[in-house]
Amino acid sequence: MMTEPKRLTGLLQSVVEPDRVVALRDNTGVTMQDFQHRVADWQLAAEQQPAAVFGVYIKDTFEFAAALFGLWYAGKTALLMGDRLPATIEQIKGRVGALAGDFDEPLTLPVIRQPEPATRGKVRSFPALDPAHPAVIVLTSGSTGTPKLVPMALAQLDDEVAMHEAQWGLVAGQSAVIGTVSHQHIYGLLWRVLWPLAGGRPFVSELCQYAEDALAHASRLPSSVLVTTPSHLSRWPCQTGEKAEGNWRLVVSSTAPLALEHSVFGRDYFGVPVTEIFGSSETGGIAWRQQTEDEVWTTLKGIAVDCDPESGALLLQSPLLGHQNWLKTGDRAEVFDRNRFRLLGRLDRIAKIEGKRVSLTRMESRLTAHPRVTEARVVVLEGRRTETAVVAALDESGQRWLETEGKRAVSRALRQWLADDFETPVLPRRWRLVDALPRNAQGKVPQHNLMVLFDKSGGTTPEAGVLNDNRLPVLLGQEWLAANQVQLHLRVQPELAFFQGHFDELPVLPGVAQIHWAEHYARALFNEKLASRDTFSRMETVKFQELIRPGREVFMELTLQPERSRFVFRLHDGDTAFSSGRMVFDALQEPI
Amino acid sequence: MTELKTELKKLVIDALDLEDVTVDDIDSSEPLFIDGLGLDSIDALELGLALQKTYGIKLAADSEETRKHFASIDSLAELVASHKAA
Repeated sequence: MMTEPKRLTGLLQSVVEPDRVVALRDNTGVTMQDFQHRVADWQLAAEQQPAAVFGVYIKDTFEFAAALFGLWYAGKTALLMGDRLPATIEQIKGRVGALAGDFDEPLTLPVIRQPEPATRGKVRSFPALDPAHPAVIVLTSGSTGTPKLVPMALAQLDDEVAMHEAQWGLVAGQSAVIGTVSHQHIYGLLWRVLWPLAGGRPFVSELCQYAEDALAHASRLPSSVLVTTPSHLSRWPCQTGEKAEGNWRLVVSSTAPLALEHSVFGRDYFGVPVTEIFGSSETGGIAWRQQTEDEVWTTLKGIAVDCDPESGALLLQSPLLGHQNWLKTGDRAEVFDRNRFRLLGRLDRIAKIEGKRVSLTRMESRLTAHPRVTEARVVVLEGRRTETAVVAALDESGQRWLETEGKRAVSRALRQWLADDFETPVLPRRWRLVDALPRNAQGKVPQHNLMVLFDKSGGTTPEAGVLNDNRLPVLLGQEWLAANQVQLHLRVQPELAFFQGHFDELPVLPGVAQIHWAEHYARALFNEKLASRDTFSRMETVKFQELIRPGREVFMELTLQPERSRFVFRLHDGDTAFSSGRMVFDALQEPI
Repeated sequence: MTELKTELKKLVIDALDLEDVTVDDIDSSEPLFIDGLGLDSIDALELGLALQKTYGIKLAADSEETRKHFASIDSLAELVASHKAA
């Protein structure tokens, strides 16, 4: 029997199904009644705090869901934190009065950890929630690169969940929802928590960061839904032709467009088409597609689209916006019949380079059209002159080209490739040739990740010893893994100069600092092997995959490859890879 | 003269903040503008300023003569050498 989908506002109003399983925790069902008890615990705890906004970070999804509803019933707002690092807390301090969840450090803010469970009697009834209640504040990376706080009313969440339920409720049925994305971000919040709760299907309480975890859950369940991203689908570890364990009813991908090849892989592997959802924190969900069926996007129920005749921008009319006006998005689109569209890339970004106008979008398309370039981003640098600079990802043949011909020859050839279409003054003067663009965990390429690659102080090499104590991390340990390989255990202390006053928002360790550290320790540790070469000529395949926040402990692995005149650095913490790259020594006089 | 040419190559690289270019990469007879190093009119202005600062040579911004001097490192070296001799 299908359960009638519920509005979130009325989810807890009556206990019609106290034994319904709302979540799976350690493979055990947690019921609606358990949920209501826990919501009551959280409500009671939250009511004892005067704070109106709580910074929330809770690893377990069931506990997180209970805290969220508890806060709402206490009349509070949840600010969803991406992590719980001291620096993050420091940053949101002005916006929150208290914290809720897994915090153990001594804190300057009041905190509710796990509230003591009250005596479990009969579940009391909950009233309906106010749809206008300011339910959550989400942090979004934004296309400008600076994180932005987006407040959302309960009605916005409720309406979006209802929209997805209308579209996918029947297909998903009562399948359990398994996710590779955290519920601390809006996509995970909607799809891993709120949509399952409203649709009467259980969610798996653990985040499945590894494919194996997701498959292990699915193999024990009658049927499953996967909530994932292009980052995961494109790196899914499996053999060609292999089929996924489990009975998959729906595979959802969002946060970035999925490449067609990965859409095809997903369909063949999971046995269902991959459903992509297009939207943003600011607009809510907009449209969906299954590329293996049709590359054109179809709007979600109740949403209309149009094309701005002047700019070619996608125009949007959506009940999730809270008004009836058309909203101009930052994407160019070709629109069919008000409910179907094809995305044509981001709106033209026009830059003025030394008085000449140039379309960065067009330059990127031209670069991507080069047979050895897979992806490219063009940024504008302000230095001695305003100039364009390129981060280009090369394919395998391109990487071989780079190794044999050198960076200068390759960048010169690419510059020549652009010269037919662009005037000399706007041609890129700085190039970073990589094997993949520096993406974040959401699969996006934040402007910041591109800019650090061109950081002026990163282009030249400081003398060894220039980095004083305030610019070096705390060295906790050092272990030689091989004759030419060493691993350093470092603590990125918040007192570092890099974190002082540079950031409007969340402070992060600049990429250039990571590169300097790599060089600093390489010089210190491989000293006798490097003595004859005083400069590093260039960096190669530098990637900044994850941000490093103040307070973090990391490992820096340095591998000297004397025969190739370079050393490789890698920053990681065992699980997460933060950054990596190669540094090549200057002019090769003799092998070392 | 070789020393002067090396010095000028360094000046070009520093003044124009060229990336991925070392002294050894620049051929003294190679055209500096458009084809060779791919420099443009804004670079010509910068280079003019650098020559003025370093050697006290003043060149009319956009004259036929300037263009001749800026053709290559060889021609620049001749200009600087003659200026020093004078």
